[in-house]
Amino acid sequence: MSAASPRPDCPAHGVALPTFEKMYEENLKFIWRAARRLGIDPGDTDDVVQEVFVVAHRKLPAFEGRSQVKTWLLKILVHVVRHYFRTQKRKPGHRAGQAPGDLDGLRDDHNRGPAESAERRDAVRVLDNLLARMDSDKREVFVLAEIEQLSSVEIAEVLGANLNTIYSRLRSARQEFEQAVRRFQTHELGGVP
Amino acid sequence: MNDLDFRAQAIVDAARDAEEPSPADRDRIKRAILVQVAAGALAATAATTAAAGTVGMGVGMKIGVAVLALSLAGGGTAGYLHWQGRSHRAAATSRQVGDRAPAREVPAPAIARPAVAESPLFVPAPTESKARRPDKPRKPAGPGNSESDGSPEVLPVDDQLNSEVVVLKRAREELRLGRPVHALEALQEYDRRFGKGVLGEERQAMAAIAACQAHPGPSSQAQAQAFMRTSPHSPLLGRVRAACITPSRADSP
Repeated sequence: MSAASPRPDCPAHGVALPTFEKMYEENLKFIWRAARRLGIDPGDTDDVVQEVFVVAHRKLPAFEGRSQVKTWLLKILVHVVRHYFRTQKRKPGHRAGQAPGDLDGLRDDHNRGPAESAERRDAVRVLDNLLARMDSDKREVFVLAEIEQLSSVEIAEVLGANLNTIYSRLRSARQEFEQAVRRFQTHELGGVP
Repeated sequence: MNDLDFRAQAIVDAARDAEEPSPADRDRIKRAILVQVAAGALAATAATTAAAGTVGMGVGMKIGVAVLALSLAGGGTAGYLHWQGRSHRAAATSRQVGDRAPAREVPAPAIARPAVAESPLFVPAPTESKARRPDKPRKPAGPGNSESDGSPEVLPVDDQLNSEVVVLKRAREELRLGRPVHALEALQEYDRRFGKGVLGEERQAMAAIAACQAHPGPSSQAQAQAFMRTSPHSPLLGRVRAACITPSRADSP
């Protein structure tokens, strides 16, 4: 877990739980981002993020502070995302898991120059296209490790999987991603590395 | 374990912070979460209604039902108000309240406060709680607070909210029973008593839905369009659109 997420106050240590509002304000951005990278369609991101926080709201009183808030929320997110894909698969013509076709979620950052903003938008487009080609197990591990920068132990906790399984999936996901990047650069950028 | 090669890493690094919700997204999502929480409160107080309203619906549709459910869920709205405590609408209400103490101890009229309302999530921090809660129980509303003078009621925040909820609940029930004219009458009462009110947006949405059901036609559709323009991020947008564009999709659960 990155140090960016402070350890939540633990009732066992005599400190109050974080308020829901604080938790929302501090974690919305990364939950939103993780939802998008896990393949949630831009039009459905609001719903999925809402669902995560509604579940968190319901469960917060039982949260014991044994894991960090970020890890706990990601665990909820993964559950919601998996449910989303199961539901989408039952709908005719579902698009779940495919590469997002628009960049509506991208925000113009006025602190960045146009070139840098364009570069970041391109990076998101490329990343999402490449992630869309991964199977969901690898994608989850890759996003949690490379985008959210969780440790393998934390990923194992979030996904409820064996640590060796996480190592294996992450190794495989990284290789797959690197190969996809090379293929993409060869085909899309005329072979320029 | 090996790290990504530099090409792959560059893409990941560039993409990591390129995307985030805008302030409008944050507000919209926050509001929708509270609405869903209110729907949860509804489930606690009126399980059958909640089930009938949400089974088989997608998340977006549930949000629409939940907003209407908000009018049934006193506890949820208490949470809503707590979270919206710094919002301009709540602030405006607080200014109306003046020096009068908030009335969290005063039970909502005829509405059981569901367990979710007592969740630590929406209960102020202990010190804040002491500051907000009056030592003495508030006096019940007297004749001077009645609605008989024709001007919008001036009530403590929670009292006002609960009173608004009661009226919106009645309007919602009329809609559910297929009596949009009666719903419009309830909403007129809302206007008389509360003016714009804390739940003004919900009132506007219900008015548009009721108008489309009672008097389908260009005038009602214009009212719906006006709501969609003024509240483009309302979770009720789809509900209003469905009621006004496809009249057969009435508000009944």
